[in-house]
Amino acid sequence: MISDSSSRPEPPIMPDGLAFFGRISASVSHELNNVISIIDQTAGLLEDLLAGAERGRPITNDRLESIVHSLQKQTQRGLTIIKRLNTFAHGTDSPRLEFDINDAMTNLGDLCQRLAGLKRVTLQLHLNDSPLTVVGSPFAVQQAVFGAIMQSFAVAERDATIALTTGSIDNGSSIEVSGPVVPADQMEFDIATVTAFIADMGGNAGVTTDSEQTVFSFTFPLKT
Amino acid sequence: MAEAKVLIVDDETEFATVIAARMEARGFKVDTADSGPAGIDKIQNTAYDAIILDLAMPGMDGIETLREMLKIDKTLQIILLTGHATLQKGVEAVKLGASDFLEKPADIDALVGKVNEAQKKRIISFQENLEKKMSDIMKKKGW
Repeated sequence: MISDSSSRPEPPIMPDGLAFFGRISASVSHELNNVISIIDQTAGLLEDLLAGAERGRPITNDRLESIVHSLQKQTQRGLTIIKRLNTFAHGTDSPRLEFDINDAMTNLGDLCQRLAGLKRVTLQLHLNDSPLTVVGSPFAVQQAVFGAIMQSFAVAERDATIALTTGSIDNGSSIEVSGPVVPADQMEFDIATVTAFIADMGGNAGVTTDSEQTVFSFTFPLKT
Repeated sequence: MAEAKVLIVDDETEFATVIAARMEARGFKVDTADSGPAGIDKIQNTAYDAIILDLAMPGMDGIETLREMLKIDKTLQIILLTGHATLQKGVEAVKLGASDFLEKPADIDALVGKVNEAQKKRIISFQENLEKKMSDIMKKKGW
């Protein structure tokens, strides 16, 4: 449940915040275009079959059932995509909302799945067992974590796995993005800017790299 | 003209299936593939009059698939299907050798028109290649 507890009008936004919003919106609209295309062509197929029936080629119940099933499936898919975008967009309602880190990362993970697919990598979500309620901007948190995910995607080879994990730490919540090693000369994720960005909600960010992986970590105090 | 043989390459399998059904109802022979590599496999074994290729596919995207297919057979007639935001990429693809592009959702009659044009172009291209080969052979023999 999200509740508004502030009078400040605008959520914080990093310098490339519009690009983040644009990239997510473009990905979602591309997915929706695919859904609409399937529904459009399926309706066209029904038209073709009706025309065929008028010329003496009857439509079987099985065929009709299959078409109905396809239309229902794509409609459901479209509604799911729209719901995800709606949740994401409402993350900008206020800079200070009560929200669950698990929900924000589930939403972000879902929105990033198509981008992961295009890179042929797997983005795995591992959520904390219980809610992690914080106060701040879901959009800001998602923007910060998105930067880490995109950095991991940029260096990942095909079939790599990137893990997005939420957890509980002393009086706080943690988010980690773990993936392939990001060489120093390819690191574009600006830790200083991100840290300053989330400091307003008591957040902190860090990056650690060993021989096996790079881990981007974010911590936020829990709502008291 | 003979019945055209078409390959649809799109990771959205339901889209490929329904387009295939509509094109078969219009007299085409249609195969489908759900990825760039699968499409490349198909063209190694079958001669297609036209290939309908989705631009945004996971892994090997439409542009990379187009390049690889044209390396195998530069006479292939490849029609790209693009989303609105990738219209510029459609133009880029034509410069790389695609025969045409269409924006999704595609009008079936427009698609059929482009496939028919592609079939004609392929026949002309095949004839030109054959004539060139014949001409080269005759020159070698001093005729």
